[in-house]
Amino acid sequence: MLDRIFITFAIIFLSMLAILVVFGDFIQPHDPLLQNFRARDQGPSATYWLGTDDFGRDVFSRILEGSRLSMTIGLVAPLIAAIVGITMGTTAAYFGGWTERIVSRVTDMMMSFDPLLLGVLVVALLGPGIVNLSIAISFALIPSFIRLSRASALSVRQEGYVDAAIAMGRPSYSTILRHVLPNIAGPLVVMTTIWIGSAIRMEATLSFIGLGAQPPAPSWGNIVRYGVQNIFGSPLPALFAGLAITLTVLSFNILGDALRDRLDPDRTVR
Amino acid sequence: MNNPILTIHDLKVAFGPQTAPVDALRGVNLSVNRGECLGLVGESGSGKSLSALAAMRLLPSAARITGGSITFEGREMATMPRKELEGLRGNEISMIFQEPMTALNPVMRVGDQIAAPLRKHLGLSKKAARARAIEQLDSVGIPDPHRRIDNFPHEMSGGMRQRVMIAMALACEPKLLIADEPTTALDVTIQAQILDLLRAKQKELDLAIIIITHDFGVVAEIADRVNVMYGGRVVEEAGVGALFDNTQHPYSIGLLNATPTIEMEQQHRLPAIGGAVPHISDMPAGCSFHPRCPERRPECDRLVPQLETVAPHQRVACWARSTADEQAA
Repeated sequence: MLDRIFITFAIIFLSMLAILVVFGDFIQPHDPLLQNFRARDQGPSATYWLGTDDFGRDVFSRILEGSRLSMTIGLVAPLIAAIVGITMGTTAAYFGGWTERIVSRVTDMMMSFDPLLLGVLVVALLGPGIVNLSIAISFALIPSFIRLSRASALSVRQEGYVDAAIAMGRPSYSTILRHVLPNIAGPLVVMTTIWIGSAIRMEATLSFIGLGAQPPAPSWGNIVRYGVQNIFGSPLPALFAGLAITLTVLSFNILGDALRDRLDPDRTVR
Repeated sequence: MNNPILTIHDLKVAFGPQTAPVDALRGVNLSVNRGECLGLVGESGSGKSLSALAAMRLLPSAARITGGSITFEGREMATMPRKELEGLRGNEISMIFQEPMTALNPVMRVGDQIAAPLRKHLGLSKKAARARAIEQLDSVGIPDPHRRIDNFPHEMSGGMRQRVMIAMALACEPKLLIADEPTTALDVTIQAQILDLLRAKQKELDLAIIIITHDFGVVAEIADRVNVMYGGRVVEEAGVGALFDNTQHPYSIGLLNATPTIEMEQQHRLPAIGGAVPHISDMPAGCSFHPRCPERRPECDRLVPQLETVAPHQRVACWARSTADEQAA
C-alpha cells in the first residue's frame, strides 16, 4: 500500500517536472538571469515565490531554468550510455571469443574507477561545459550497461530460439536485434530509469565542484554551489535546489523499482 | 550411395584451447542421399548432435572443426564464408531442435518467426510472406491457421510448437532437414504424429532428413538407413532392416538388447551395456568401445578399426567382424 502511494507520488512529480521543463518559458515569473540589487536575499513572497539569491535573481525561475539543463543531461547521458553500452555488451556476449575478452577487460578497467572520478577525469581532459559534462557522465555509465547487457545476453544466447534463428539463416546483427534484445529489454529499461536519477545526481555533483554548467547559466548543481557560498545571506536557493535534486532522484529510483517489480518475471508482484 | 546430397568425410571437431584440444568427433564419415532419411543413433556423448551441428556450422564457440570435409551438393561447407552459410541455412538446409519449448522466441508471434526465412531467402513482401506462413501452418496440420498465426509460443502446446518449428524449417522448401531428437520432449501419441508429419513432408518435398535419436522405435518408424555412433565415430552403417535383423557391431547389438520390447517377460531384467561412455578427454586408444566390448580382441586396444563392408549396403568398424583381421593380428 505504502509502495503504491510512493509510486503515485513519483509519477505525479515526474509528470509535473516534465511539464515544467517543456513549458518553462511560459511559466517562469521572472528572467532567471535578471539581477535586482534592491531585492537581494529575500524570503518567499507573492512576487518571488521561493525568494531571491544574493544577486536578487528569482530562485523559482532559476530552479526552473536549471531543471532543463539537469533533466536534459539526466536523460541524454544515460541514453547515450545505454546505446553504446548495450551494443558493446550484446555483441560481446553474442560473438564470444576475443571480442568478449577485450570488451570485458576494458569494462573491468573502467569499473575500477568510481563513476564520479571517471567523470572528473573526462571533464578535466575535455574542459568544463554542458556537452563535455554529458560525455563525462555517459562515459561513467557505459561500463554498467555493458556488464548488465552482456550478462543478460549471455543467458539468452544459450536459448534454443537463438540457435534456431541462426539455423534459419538470420544474420548476426539481425539475430541480436530481433531475438536477443527484446528478451533482455526488461532489466535494461529498469536500469536506464535508475541511472537517469544517478545522472542527475552526478550532474549536480560535478556542477557543485565547478566542473559542470558555468555561471551565470543556472543548473541545479551550481545553484546549490553558489547558494552554499551565500548560505548566511539566504539559505533558500541551496535548500530548494537541493530539494529539487532529492525529489527527482528519489522519484526515478521509485519508478525504477516499480518497473523492476513489473518487468522481472522472476519476481511476483505483491 | 549413388546420389549423396550431404557427405561428411573424416570430420574432426575439437573443444578447448589449440594447445590442448579435446577431440569430440574423431573422424566421422556419413552421407545422406536425396529424399532419404538417415537415422543417427548413439548414447549421449557419442557425437551425434555434434555431427549435426557441425554440418550446419552451428558449433558452440568453444568447439571448432579441426579436419575433414562437409560437402553439400558439391559445395564445401567446412570452410564456407559466413555470408554464404547464411544464404544456405533455412533455405537449402534446415534444422529442428529437441526442445520445442525453447526453440521459439517467446516474445515474437509465430507468424513472424515463420515469415522471417521466407522474407530473407525468397525475398517475399510482408504480405506474401504472411500468406505463405498461413499455408505452411495449414500444411503442418495446425487447425485454424488464420488465427494461430498471431499466437505467441506460450499460447500453444508442445506438439503444436514442434509443428510450428517444422513449418518454419520447411518454409523455403529445403533439400535437407536435420532433426535433432525432434520427438524426445513430446509424449508418445504426439511423437507418432510428428513422425508421420515428417514422413509426409519427406515424400512431398523429396526431402532428405537426418534424424538424430537414441530411440530405436523412432528409427524403425522413419529411417531408411541408420548410422550408429560411438565415441565420436560412426561404428556401423546399415539399412534399417539390416540393422534390426543382421546387427553386426557389438555396440549396436548391446543397444538393441537394451531396448525394451512388448514381448518381454514382465520380471525380465533389461540387459545393459557394462560401464559408461568414456569422457571425451579420456577416450581409450584403438577402438573406443573395447573396454565395454564382450567380443574384445587383442588388437582392439591398439588399432582403430575402419568401416568395412560386411554385407551389401552394410559397413561395420569392428575387428571382430573384420575380414582383414588375419593380416592385422
